[in-house]
Amino acid sequence: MNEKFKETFREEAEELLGHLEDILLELEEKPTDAELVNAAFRAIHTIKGSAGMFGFEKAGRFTHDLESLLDECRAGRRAVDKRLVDLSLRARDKIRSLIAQDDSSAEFDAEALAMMEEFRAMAAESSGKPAQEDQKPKADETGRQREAMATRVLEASIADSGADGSGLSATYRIRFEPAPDIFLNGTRVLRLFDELATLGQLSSMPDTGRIPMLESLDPETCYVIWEAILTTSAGIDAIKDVFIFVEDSSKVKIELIDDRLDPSEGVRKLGEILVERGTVKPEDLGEALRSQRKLGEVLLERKVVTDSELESALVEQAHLKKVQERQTEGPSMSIRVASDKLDELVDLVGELVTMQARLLRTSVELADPGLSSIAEQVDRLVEQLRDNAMGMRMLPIGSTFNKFRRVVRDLSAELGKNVDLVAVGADTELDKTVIERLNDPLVHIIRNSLDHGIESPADRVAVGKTATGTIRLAAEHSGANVVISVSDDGKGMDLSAIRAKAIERGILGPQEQLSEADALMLVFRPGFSTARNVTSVSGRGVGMDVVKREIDSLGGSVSVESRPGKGSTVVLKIPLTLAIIEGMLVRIADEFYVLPLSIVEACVEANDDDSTDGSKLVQFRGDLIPYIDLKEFFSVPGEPVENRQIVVVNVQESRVGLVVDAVIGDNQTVIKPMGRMYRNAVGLSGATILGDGRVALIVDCMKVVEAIPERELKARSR
Amino acid sequence: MGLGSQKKRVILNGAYAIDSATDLARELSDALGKARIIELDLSGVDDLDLPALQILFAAAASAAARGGELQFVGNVSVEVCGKLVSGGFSQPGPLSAAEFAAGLPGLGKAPR
Amino acid sequence: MAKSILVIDDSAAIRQSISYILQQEGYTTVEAGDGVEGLARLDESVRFDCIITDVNMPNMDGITFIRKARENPKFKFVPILVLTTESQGSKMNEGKEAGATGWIVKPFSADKLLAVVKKVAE
Repeated sequence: MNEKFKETFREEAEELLGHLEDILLELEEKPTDAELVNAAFRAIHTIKGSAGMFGFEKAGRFTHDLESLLDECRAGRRAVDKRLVDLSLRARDKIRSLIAQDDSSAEFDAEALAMMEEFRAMAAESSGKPAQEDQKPKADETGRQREAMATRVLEASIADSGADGSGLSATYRIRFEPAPDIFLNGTRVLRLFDELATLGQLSSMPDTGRIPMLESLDPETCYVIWEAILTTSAGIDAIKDVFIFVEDSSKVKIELIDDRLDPSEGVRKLGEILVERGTVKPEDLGEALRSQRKLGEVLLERKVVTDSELESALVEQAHLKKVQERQTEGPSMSIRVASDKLDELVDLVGELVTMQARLLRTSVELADPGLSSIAEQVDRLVEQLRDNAMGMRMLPIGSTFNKFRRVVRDLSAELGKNVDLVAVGADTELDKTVIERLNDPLVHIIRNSLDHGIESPADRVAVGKTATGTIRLAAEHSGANVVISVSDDGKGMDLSAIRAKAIERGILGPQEQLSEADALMLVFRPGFSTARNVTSVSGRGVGMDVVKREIDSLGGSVSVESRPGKGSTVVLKIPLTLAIIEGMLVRIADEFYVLPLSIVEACVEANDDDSTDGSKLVQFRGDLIPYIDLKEFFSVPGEPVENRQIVVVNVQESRVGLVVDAVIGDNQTVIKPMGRMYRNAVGLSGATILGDGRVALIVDCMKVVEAIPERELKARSR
Repeated sequence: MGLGSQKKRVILNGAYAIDSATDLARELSDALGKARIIELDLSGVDDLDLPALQILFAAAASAAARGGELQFVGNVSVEVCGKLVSGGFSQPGPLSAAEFAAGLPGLGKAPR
Repeated sequence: MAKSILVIDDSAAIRQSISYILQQEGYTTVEAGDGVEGLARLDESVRFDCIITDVNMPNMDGITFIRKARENPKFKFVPILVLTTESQGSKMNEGKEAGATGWIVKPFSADKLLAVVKKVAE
């Protein structure tokens, strides 16, 4: 927004400074006129407040001490005299030139520094303190910085303690007693809890015992108080931020209960929790425990605890238990299984699925009602069995996320940047082979964000951001896919730089027009790299094209969003498993092939006229796209047929037609690896068995398309 | 009217936030003056903010103190429940009136 | 329905940039140059989902504006955010006492502004 409103600010400042000049001159005549002093202060204050917003930090800093000085006058602690008016007038001219220069990088010149010194000296005189004393706020500031650093360290240690795999989060107990008049300033108390809930796992326990009878209720007073337990990886500052507007009048207490839930410790005892909270004295607890009855009952009976105190302790216990279970996945309930055994199971289930399809077909052909009903029931069971077996190979993606913490830490140190990694959805499950193959692409994307996205701390502060950047790694399920996004709050991608580079590298024609989204995708094209200087980070020889290729080979897709100045997001959409794909079954002569449905864009009738000039290009939606005759490619024997079909697939951002004899339809395809003899077959990635027992080969479209000469791929979309 | 009419139904509709709290308190207070048992129909409500919720608690306590009861009828919508989940007042909805009432901690108990 | 926000600041640059940021996010905005104008906008409007006001302004300052706005039953409970600079810790308190819901510290980034507006107005 800087650029857009810079000019408005300049005009406005010019006007205000003109006005200020008049005021100051008048003030010289009438030094006791309070309204004039006020007006001068306001003008300076407005300039100071806005300057920083529109990139005039230097003018803002310069104005700061003058503002304090005028504030002294306004408060009546300092009289207006000629010296003050003189200085203010000179300062006004200086502000004007600072804004005209519009240069925030260079140091202040001697004149400016001298004036700033004088502001401070005069302000100090008036408050009766030596100028030295005025340094005090600075000392406070360092104190605050140190404090801030201490919290950073604390947070880092929390994050580290999570990095060993026991989880990423800490658990806090929050006690919130809203000010009775909290409703009156427009605060919506329940929304604070919604905000807390976005930070992690939240259990809230409202205490309604203070709500009076209707007769004595003031409908605009808040009577409810809360205890909440929150398990979050966001750190205590994020919790404090939620309450930032209410903490002065309401009571907010945040305690760290547990920064690491050790499963070997077992679930916390109710007594422990009550004593730790200070609800029950240890001696009372000992006595109550001797009575051999339920602790809660005894304590209630003896009036040691109230209903709501007991209930909130129970909520805490339940919360901790839930978090613990989630983190450990119940140690007593799980067993280790060698992963090849699981693979074998999935293989067998795959065959069972195939056989089941045959059974269903046969039962339909035989039209035996008894057999049909059995076949249908077996069908349901097999489906459940398949989901189950697939589920066993699923792992939470969190284990990978932890590795990235280290990557971020090391890299940000190397680059001199401050970066926090926030991971969301670490418990999202994904096939283990997919997780393994995601590692490298994700590392690369994160590196890229760190290197090109997040600015240096100084640059960030200059544009009004926090010195520390954030990279957010998020995973969530979306239908049969997992969506993984890596976003940063850096400077976003520079579209014009991307275009320029693409043209320079010959990826894009100089006249070629692209939509913003398409232009962003250029970074994934082979041979593209926006790194102007080869840094040790992104100069490791791989570009983002590797990311794209790997994700494509997983049957997934990549997209990028970027908001200039705000950051960018790379979104990966990955199928849950590699063992089963949605395929499109096609026929070439007597043979069956499967194309991954995710890359299929359309099926069109092949028109023999298209290929008469031998160029192997076909019209599709107004573009000329290259095509490959799969019959030729795979050397399938057979007579030429009429009415052939072209399946248009999208591979590596290029549309390519694949000519087949017939399109049969969608097919849930259980992928079987091919035997050793066929491992090297170009253009095939596996095989599957069809419902009737026949074999279909799965086409590796990427390999097939690589066989097309580069110049023909370029002929597209003009 | 005394205890002549034992039951009175109050139907709430729309959003109940802080600005309508005083009116809601008055409406329930009037109803409590007329009958021992109040049937509160929340099915037409699309927002029930904390001030309104407090009034329900207060009304339930007042009714109980007079030997009556505040009963909920009708379903409580997804939206209403959704806004109460984080604060610990509800499960994700929609909930039946009975489920909703059971999830309000301390409802109908006398104030401390 | 789009949420509507009243933006009061004597600096047109600040006012317009806030409006611009909010409009990008789908809010509708109404602008006023000082407290007096702000009150006039309140009088002629049915509702605002949030009010953002500067403190130091000619004619009527932000604190007085908040007091008067809170006297209007239509806006008794509307979230009000005060624009302050770090040097004005006392203004935050004054603003809160007058009935403000929260504050935004100048200079601020678009993200910060949106985060705070979302916090109180969503």
